[in-house]
Amino acid sequence: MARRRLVNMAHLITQTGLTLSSLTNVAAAGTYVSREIYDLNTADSVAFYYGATSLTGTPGTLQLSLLERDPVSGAFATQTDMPAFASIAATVANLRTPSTATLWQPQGECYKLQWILTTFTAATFYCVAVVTQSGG
Amino acid sequence: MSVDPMGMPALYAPPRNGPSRTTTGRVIWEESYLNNMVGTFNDGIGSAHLDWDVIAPGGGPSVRLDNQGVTATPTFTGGNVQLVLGGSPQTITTSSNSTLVGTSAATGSPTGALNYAGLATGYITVTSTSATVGNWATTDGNSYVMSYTSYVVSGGANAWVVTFSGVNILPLPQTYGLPTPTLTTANVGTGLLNINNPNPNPTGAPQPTVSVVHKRRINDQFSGVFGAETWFRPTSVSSATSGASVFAHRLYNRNGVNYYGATAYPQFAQGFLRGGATWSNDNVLLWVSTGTGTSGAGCQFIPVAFSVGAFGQHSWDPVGTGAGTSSQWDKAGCWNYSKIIVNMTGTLGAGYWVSYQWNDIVYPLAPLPMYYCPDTGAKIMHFSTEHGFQGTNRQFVNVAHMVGTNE
Repeated sequence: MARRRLVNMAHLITQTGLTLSSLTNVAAAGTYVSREIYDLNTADSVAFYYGATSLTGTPGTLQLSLLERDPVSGAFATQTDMPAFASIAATVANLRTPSTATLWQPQGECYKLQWILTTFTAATFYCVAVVTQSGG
Repeated sequence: MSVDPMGMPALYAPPRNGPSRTTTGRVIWEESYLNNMVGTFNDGIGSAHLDWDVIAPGGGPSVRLDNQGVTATPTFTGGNVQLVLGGSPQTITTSSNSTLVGTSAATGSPTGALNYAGLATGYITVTSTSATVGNWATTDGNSYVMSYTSYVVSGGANAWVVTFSGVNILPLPQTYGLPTPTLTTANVGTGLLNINNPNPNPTGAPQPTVSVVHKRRINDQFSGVFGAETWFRPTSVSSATSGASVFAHRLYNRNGVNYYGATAYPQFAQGFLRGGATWSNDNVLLWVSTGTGTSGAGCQFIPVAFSVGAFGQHSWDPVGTGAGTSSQWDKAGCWNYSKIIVNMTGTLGAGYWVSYQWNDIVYPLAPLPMYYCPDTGAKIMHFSTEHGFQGTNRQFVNVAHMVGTNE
């Protein structure tokens, strides 16, 4: 029987579990990464739900992407078979990747979510993975 | 309808069906992780995640406590001071009532750290951590814990002298040479004396901003005697390093006014030259918490025993981030069993330690009070395993089969 569980992808390394929230605040334009996320490696498939509840400043973009760790070198890199996140230019909810017709099965042991805020000066967004796994 | 009879464990205790080294306790809850799910939660930084590469004793995955590089260097200190061995070489026994001299080139006076919760008494640990004879504070290369009955501080800035009186070897279990251990000081002027608390130490209460705090919570307001069990292995390269590795096992509760916590802290890298031939520094000195203060500070750690075993060997660290050079691929590792038992009975939860078990040995501790401090946080009993580290070499450890018991 398949079971589903949630993983907050926008969880910073230094953020304690007690302060974790569904919404993540970005206070300045730039590139950010989450903590290392190992919670996808028992998944049969994963879908990401994401959106932005506020964007501040001159219009720009908020771009999410996934990084996968090479288990020997420890380096994080984008692989070509990863889900594609839509570029966000205005507040939006209910986005999901991959699409309904595609199941994405993680190949790696460890991931990070990266978010790049361009031109905008602040943003509030969310990104949660719904992990589907069987057996156990 | 059946009612869970907390006061009648003998009648209702089910047989233990999980891996355990204990002989007591009715299981309240257990985390086996066999269903691929993690019911425990990390309140701290970094991550506590399912690890299918490091399989627990008895099967199934373990949970990796990984700080992900967040160091606890500014935090995990307190109640300790390090001095340089002074005076002349001398022999100390369990009843010699010796006078021992230590010096400090620090600007500030060591008096604050010596005033161990207002007591004139305390502990002096000589930890032999290097195979180099010139670094040993004892001629035999063995680590010892001594006790003292009083001290006098003299001198001034950058030239402090501390004179301890009534110094004896504390005959802890597995001290080398028991029942009549004798140490002779060596390398005066370079050998190190660690006074009172170990440094680093996990303090008397969880520190979630600098460590992984991996826990299960059960509502109970100090109704009886409880146990907390876990299996534990140092996993990464450098995860059992002298003066850098901090793994803590805690059982604690709050009543809306105070926090009461029992913390067990295995301090790694204690050196011994056993059999007169083979020196190694992967033994452990076990400490437990008592005293009072604020937010974990003011904790007095009490030395319980040396433990002989292989604690700093056989790492699993494919990236090799700990050493920064080569990776380690030992999935089996070296597992340890830890069990805290405390009596929490009392309207204000003025509880005390009953015993601490580390692997094959149970150490009776009653009636040693648990550490306590003012705390209006969640009024619930917590069973936690925690990990922090100091320095720059990333460390992680694994835990498995955490169990809460009613004793």
